[in-house]
Amino acid sequence: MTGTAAIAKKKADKPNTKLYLIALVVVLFVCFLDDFTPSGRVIPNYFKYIIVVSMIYAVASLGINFYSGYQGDTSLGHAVFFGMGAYTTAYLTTQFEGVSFWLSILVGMILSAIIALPVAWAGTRVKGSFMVVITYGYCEIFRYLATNSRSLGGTAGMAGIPTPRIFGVKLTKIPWLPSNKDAFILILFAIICFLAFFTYRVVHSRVGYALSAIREDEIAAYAMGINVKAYKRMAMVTSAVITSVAGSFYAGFANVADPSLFGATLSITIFTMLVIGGRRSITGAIFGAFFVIICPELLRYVQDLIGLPFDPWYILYGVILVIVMRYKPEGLLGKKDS
Amino acid sequence: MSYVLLSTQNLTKSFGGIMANKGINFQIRQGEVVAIIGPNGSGKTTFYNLLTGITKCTEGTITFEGQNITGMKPQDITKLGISRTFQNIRLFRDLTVEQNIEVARHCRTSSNMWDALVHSKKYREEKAHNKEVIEMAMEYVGLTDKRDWKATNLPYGMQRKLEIARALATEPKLVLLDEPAAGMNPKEKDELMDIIRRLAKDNYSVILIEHAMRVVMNIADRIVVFNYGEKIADGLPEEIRNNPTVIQAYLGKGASADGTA
Amino acid sequence: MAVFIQQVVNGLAQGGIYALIAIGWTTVFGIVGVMNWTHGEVYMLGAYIGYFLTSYAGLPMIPSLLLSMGGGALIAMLVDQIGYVPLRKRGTLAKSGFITALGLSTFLRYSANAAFTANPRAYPKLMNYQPIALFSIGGTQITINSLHLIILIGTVIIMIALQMFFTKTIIGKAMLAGSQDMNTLALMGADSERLIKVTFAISGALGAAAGFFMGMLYMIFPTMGALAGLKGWACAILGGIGSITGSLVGGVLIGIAETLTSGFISTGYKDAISFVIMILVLLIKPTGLMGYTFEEKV
Repeated sequence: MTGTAAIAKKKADKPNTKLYLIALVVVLFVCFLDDFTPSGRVIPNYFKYIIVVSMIYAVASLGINFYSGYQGDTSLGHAVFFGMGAYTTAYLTTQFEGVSFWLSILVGMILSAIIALPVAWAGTRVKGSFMVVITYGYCEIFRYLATNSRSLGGTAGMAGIPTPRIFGVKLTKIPWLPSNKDAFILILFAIICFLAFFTYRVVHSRVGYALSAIREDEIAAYAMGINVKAYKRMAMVTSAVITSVAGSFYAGFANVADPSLFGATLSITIFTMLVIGGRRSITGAIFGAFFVIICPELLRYVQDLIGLPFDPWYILYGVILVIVMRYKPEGLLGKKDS
Repeated sequence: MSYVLLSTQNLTKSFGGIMANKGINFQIRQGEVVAIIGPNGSGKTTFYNLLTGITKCTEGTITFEGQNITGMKPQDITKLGISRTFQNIRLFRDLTVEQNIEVARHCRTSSNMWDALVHSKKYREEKAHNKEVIEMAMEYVGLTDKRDWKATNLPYGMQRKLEIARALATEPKLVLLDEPAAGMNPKEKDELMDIIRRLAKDNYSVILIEHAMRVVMNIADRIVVFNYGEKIADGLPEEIRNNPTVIQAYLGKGASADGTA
Repeated sequence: MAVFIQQVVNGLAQGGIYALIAIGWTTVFGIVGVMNWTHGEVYMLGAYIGYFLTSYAGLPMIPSLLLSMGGGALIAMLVDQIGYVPLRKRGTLAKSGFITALGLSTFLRYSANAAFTANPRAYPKLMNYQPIALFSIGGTQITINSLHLIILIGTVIIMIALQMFFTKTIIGKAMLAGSQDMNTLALMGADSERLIKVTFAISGALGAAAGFFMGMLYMIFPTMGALAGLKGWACAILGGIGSITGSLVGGVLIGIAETLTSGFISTGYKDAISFVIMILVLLIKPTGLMGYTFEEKV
């Protein structure tokens, strides 16, 4: 009860600028190393591919952090916003000549905000634990809609999504970058840094305190003059909008979008990334995404090496979740709750 | 003479068939300290929940500063200037003392996400003013040196005081305290009484639900007694002390009102 | 009209299976307070136990059903022992219980996938199935498949047994009380750990029975639990959480809604309809058709 242990460390609340500088150096290193190695590729392109995918999921993970992290209710439906972003980009850029990728991100964000409203409203009407099944059901409904819609490509989804261009140049073909993934890495890095900064500032503001209050004790939050319902809706919508950006980038990067991007399996992946990394932790959310994307790739390598007939990742993933919840429920990089 | 700050007319609440509050007429003047006493389950906390809008009344009206606030949302009532503490402590457990009080500043500030992102002038001004109020509130209850403690790590008595500080930071006119002395040792009870006296001197109105008779008899200007959801007595401490109905209802036959603290 | 009635009849057996899943979910939710996400996997494993017993061991229907119920009970108790008991000891069940369940469910599902392969399997014919004429409407004969009838009868027998267990036995009564207020029950001296064990056993047995019946109807596969688990919740929510009759009604209604959707709208939306119903019920009447309300004490 007494002593320093009880005192919250102030230092931990400061933005970790040093960490982001180190990250910047690493990113630049990864992108430009090949420029200085005359013998060709040192960093395999596949490795860069994994980095880009991890970064896309890091954006989604930062998105869900607003809802399942700071506001505190579990969402197993965030893929619906990821899918919305991906399908909006897919549809607009393939069906309409001249609609740019960047505009499609914006439209995706607006559409995601709109489809977030019904679940956000639901969140103010039922107890938190029921949000698990509501969000799960909600994203599955969208998956069925996408699967059964002919204009969205049905089960196969939409292919041939053009690679985003910047000033008319394809992101994969920027002359001064060594590989076709580097532009994505740099842009996503900028987005992640912005989101980290945004999250940090909001969390330490009046808005963030209101979310914490709601998470800790809803009735006391009311008594403090907080419009609990409005903030719950706000958290869901903000988180949806951010997740949608990740989806758009996925479509622009992978050039395909299929109904599984709406599905519960992806939702669970996004949610558990955050949980493993650490709810209410910015670095945790980013780390969680990298962890969940990189581990199965490493494991696949091991699997080929020993000739395992099945993919062991999901089995291991389940075990990891159980172990993390037992020994470090705040997540690997999360701040300890009392 | 100070004016009537809050009054209720025929305030009634029934849960199913059970009358938790039955036709309560109550009033408190500005700067007054009124204690509500009564056996457990006599509807005291329900009365608070009705005043703060957490539960909606079945019948009757609540008037605050001449304005009818019946049926208003809890967050709006807080904004008008009614603030409360909870019988079963409802602090934001994982936040620090300072942060707990900062949450209470919510109803007096208005900066949004954009202000937070760019640290606008409004945001900075609000933060600076919040800081002053938080310091004031911590000083009021004597928690200044515990500012970085997580609420859940505070001793019980201090948690109760933090609830008071948090209530004060909403800049209320009327403070509702729900058993603030529960779980406090005699020294803490003395400090609590000092806090409440100071509140009265600073022109806050205070309603106090309390079982500790020493506290009630010492600081209340007026005592209201509840029993089975009804107001059965209303008067000065000496009158209540000698009121036979009260003694019978609240303390049982033959008991005396002294020394039950 | 006759087509409509026939579709309703066709949905009954499926609905009974959903109801069994629903009750398994809600008994655990009521008493332990955790959304036991592994329930869909217990159901799946129950179906596989039944499959191995009937096809490899060649056992007849009733012994296979009982054995797979026993197996389901054991698995559910094991889930509790490995997953929830340590959290209960630390007092972190409320915070970490659901994600632990999510982890265990992922583990079980993909372990099954590795062990049994993803190929769907079918139960052997356990008896001679044939349509039985029920009644006729406007000259059209309404029939029920004898297989559906058996499943329906089996479901109803299990439900009656369960209802008797809850109302006649001491531990059953304690469980009902526990679903209202576990803390008080513990204070009154009931052995809450033992109660929880029994709860998991019952939940597992019901889930496995549902899986067994499902195997008699359709092909089984390792990921079958994901969808069925959620549909169980949909039924529980529609019927009202905590009510056995409610779950049965909810299950049957959703089973019927599914066959009607695939009959009159599109088979593509058959699985989505239960989610739509669930969300609408939670928004319009969160207590469901027969549930109670819980109020938080301020």
